[in-house]
Amino acid sequence: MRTLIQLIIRNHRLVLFVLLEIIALSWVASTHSHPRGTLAKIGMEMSTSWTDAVGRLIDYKDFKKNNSSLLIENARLRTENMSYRSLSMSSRLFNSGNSWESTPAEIIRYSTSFKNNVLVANKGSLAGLQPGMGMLENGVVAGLITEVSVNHSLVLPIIHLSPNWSVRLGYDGAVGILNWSGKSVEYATLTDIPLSEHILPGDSVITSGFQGTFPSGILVGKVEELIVTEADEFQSVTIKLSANYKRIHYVEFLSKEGTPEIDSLLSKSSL
Amino acid sequence: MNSLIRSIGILMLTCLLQVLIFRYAIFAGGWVIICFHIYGLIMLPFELSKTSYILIGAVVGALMDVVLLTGGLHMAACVFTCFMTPWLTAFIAPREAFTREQSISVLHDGWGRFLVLSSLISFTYMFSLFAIEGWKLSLLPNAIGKGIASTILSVILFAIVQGLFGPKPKSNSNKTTTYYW
Repeated sequence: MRTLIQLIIRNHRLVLFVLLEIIALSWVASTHSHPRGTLAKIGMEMSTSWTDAVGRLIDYKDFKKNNSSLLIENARLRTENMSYRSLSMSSRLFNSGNSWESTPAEIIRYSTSFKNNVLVANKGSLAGLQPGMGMLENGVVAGLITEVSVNHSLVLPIIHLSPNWSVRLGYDGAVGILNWSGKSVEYATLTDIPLSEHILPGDSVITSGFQGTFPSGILVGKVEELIVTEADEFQSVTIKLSANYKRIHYVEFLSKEGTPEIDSLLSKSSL
Repeated sequence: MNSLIRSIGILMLTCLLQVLIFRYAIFAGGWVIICFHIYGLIMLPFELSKTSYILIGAVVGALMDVVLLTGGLHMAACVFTCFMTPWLTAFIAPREAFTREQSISVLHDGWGRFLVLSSLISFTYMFSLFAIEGWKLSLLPNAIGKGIASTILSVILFAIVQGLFGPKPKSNSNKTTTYYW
């Protein structure tokens, strides 16, 4: 025992280094998929006041551009509203009898350079946001809330290695799993598509609605190219994402009225 | 002691600048980033013990992780870099060794030594940061490329800062006159 203690004392630098590396790497491992917990909240609160100020400066700079994009967004919403009025009760967004509500917010921090990028929005639990809510950017799928503090939310975008997104090819195509390869912020890969599925570049990829995060039919991206391996029964598809992460700023979060009820049913089924 | 306080002050200032300004310095789709707090680590005095280096590195890295939401990446890279720093310093030390109280500067050690030490420390940091972040053997060449690219930009920045704010030679002009009036 004494020899062991002497050995540790003699190599205390190495022991300290190994100990600190273990702490750091376990921190990396615990936050690799989802940055969450108290430290994530403290970090958000610490850095947001500065980024708020920077964001305000950028706001002034981008006023003209934002105004035109808001005008386009307004026009799109107006057109969508008109088309919903003319649809029957089996409208895509309201087909379960529970309506989706949207909460507008602003992205005040983002990273696109890492493999596990995160976004921070300027609204939190005070505005009714909760973990698990989906995020739209200019009407297309952009991310998912993973952590909320009182005034801010941490969002996992599609350009994050860990989440899988359930999507569909067109309105009546096959359902597959979308994930990000970590290479380009503009592209993601859709897998598990049967070889029998006829796909063409430019086909729309939309949400399936199965995850409960988004209603079905929200645009995710367009087919860019097909990756078929002879030995495989499935094909992979490279998708050009519709969300523009390089210019992301104004977003909206979606919530559904009946979500707690569905969650309680799912938790019962897992018992 | 004075040089230690000065170096800690520089380290705190570089951390602050990293958090406030250089966090946004991401170029070429994430291939080139600036970690300005490495300059603070480079400027730590040689008199520091290896244990203190590691502890200071852990604190700086953890602080960066909490503020930049990088979840342990900077801490792992910082601890590794500070563990390696004494060997890197010994590698480039002159024959008569560095003065223990001093930290590296262009004035005392010349541009060559400053640039080599900055490059070695920066590359160690950047490479470990990107390697841990990628966490795959297949992404190692990627990490080396990103490490080299980021090191080049960082070292250019460190050289500019050293040139502008580093120790200056004392002026030789004699200000006292020999005339009695």
